[in-house]
Amino acid sequence: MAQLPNLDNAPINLSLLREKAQEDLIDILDTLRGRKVLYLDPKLSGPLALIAQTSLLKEHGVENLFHLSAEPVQSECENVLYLVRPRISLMKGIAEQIKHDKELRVQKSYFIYFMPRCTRVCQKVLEDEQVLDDVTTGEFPLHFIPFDEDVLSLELDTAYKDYRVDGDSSGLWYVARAITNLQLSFGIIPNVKAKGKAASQVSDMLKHMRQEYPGTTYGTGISEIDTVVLIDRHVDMVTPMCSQLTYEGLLDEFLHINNGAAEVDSSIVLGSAQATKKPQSDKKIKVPLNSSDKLYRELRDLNFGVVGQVLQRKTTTMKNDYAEVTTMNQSVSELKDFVKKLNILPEMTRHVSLAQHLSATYTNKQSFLDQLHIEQTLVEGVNYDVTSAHVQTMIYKQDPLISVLRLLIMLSLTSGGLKQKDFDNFRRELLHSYGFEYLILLSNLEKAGLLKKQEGRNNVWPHLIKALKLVVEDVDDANPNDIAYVFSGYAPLSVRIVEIALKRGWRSIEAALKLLPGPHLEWSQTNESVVEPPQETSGLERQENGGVGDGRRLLVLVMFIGGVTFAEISALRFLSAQVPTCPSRPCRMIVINFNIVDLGVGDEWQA
Amino acid sequence: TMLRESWELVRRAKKQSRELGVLQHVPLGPRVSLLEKAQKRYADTKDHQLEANSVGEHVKLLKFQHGLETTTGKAIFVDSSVSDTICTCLSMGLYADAEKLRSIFKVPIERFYLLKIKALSATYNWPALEKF
Repeated sequence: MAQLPNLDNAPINLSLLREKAQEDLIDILDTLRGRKVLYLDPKLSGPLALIAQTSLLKEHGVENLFHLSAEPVQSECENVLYLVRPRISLMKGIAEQIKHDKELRVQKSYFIYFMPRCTRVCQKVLEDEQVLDDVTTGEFPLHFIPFDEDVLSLELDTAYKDYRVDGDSSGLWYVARAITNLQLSFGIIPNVKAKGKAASQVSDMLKHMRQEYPGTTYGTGISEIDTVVLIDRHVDMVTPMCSQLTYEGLLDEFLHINNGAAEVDSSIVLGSAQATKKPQSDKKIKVPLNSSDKLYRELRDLNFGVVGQVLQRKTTTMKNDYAEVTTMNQSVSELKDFVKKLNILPEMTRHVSLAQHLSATYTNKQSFLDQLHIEQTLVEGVNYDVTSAHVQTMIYKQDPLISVLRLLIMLSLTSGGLKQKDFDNFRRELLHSYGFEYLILLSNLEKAGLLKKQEGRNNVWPHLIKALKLVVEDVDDANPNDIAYVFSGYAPLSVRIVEIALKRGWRSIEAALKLLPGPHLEWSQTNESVVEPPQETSGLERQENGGVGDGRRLLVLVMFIGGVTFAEISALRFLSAQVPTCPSRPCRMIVINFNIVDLGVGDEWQA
Repeated sequence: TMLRESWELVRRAKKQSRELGVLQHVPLGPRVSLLEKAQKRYADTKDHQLEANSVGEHVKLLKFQHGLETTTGKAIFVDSSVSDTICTCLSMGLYADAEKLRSIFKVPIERFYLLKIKALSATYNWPALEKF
């Protein structure tokens, strides 16, 4: 199993969160004496791997580890432990297993631990299946999973769809609970800013949760986090539809990064020499992608266009160093330095191969360049007819559905909806080309407001581009001066409003914010009480009365309710390195989110 | 709720056919009747003409595909899309059936030609491509 991500450089003590999670997990394992079999919700195995290594499970008596399915229990162990998300389908699976054992008259003890909590619906299902009396239930209150030193995730991958399409807001409760828990460890967060319906709901819940337990002390009384910015994903769905152009973003687009690692064909990373030796080695290897890899840390946020140059520069330096070593007499300490530099070699090889693979297989292809060109036209909000014709042809040619949908959604969002005629036409053509089973998917997208038809209203997109400077000409991808570098000229809307919130406060763009869906609000709280009405100044100017000690970096949490893309994380990292308004106190950001958006429209939208 | 129910029907229809799919020549009856019920539900609401029409088309397609499977004796048609069905017909030389599909589903000529090129080149039918 891969190493746990290194959290030593985190701006707040994230290891604390992880250790707490480990302790909770051990407590759960130890409540069951002796050997046990552990059944894991398949969706939890990735996130759990970021918390604890398999050896830890073994040390605490886990004999076998399985993914939960409808198959009967395959173990002699008398203790059966389930660790699951509160999902109805899983409850049914568990009930099946227990009933199967009952039929065979096998005596076993069953324990179900819910992460992060047990819901009434789940209990009801167990009751209806008549197994509730056979099980002991408990909770594993793990909310945030530290992905990296500056990224936390709740890993609720269907929560956004549940909320937008089915109106199920339990995901929002988890968000508020998780932030409240953070406050319990790291002190009250004095400034709260929220944009969008889901965000304002979470902000209300935060207030309620404080009022519920008035006497609680938060942390050590010192606020380690200054501001939390809550953004409803719905506010900006254009950005996740754009092809990500950062190194990490592209790796995710084409190779899919899950839980801080990508599974890659071994032939790609091991290089061709080894691949030819073992021609049948089409095995996948897991490549960890997080800050523990120093080189990756340097490369991941760069626009992919410059990654090649940087790698080349590094190789050249190394080559020169090598030449010096071979030609001149070196002292031992100089040799030692050189050898130290060689330590980076495995990483170099790995990223050179990955970058090469990306550009040869994907980014140099004409189809990719065409796609980028169309996206750019869409973002600039010009020429509806040309772009819709292009999408039409893509449907005719049965291009991958996901690419077609992404463009279609962009078209709908940036032009204030599709023309009535097109709206019907596109949907018909999609169903004809890809199959009628996608009717449900289309309905869901419509319900979530991602596809819609024009309704007299003015298109707000051109106004947004202007007011928020979303299209930036002449960005130097190598030496960027604006977040627009992540999409080679388009500044992601979501990050732009975060930037303005922190630099000038949202008051300066009131008009533009009103064009975006949902309310926006800013309020403050102190250790004693919630302060209302909201303070007028922005977070950065106001920190004198906050508890942050002088000389410390100002810490901002940015929470995307509904997921975030790697490109957006890169843009936020860029911002946190920049922040010119506050020279003495650069701010750092931690990004927290439901989950990292895979491709904007994942499988969960199908159901 | 009406909508929800009709989705459920579509889904059930799909599931049923998947379960039965293992058997050759499954009776289409139950699946079609579920879909027709769904179509009615959609038609009852005001804003879902397209959905109603689509489900109707789905029924037509299923029946047509079933017919193709009976005549060709190959279970490769049911549950593929309109475009894919046309493509399969063209690559098997069933030009008349492809034409029929084209008129039933009012396939735009541009899409039809693209499918034809795809089908013919996939089967290395160069003479036909030349003529086309």
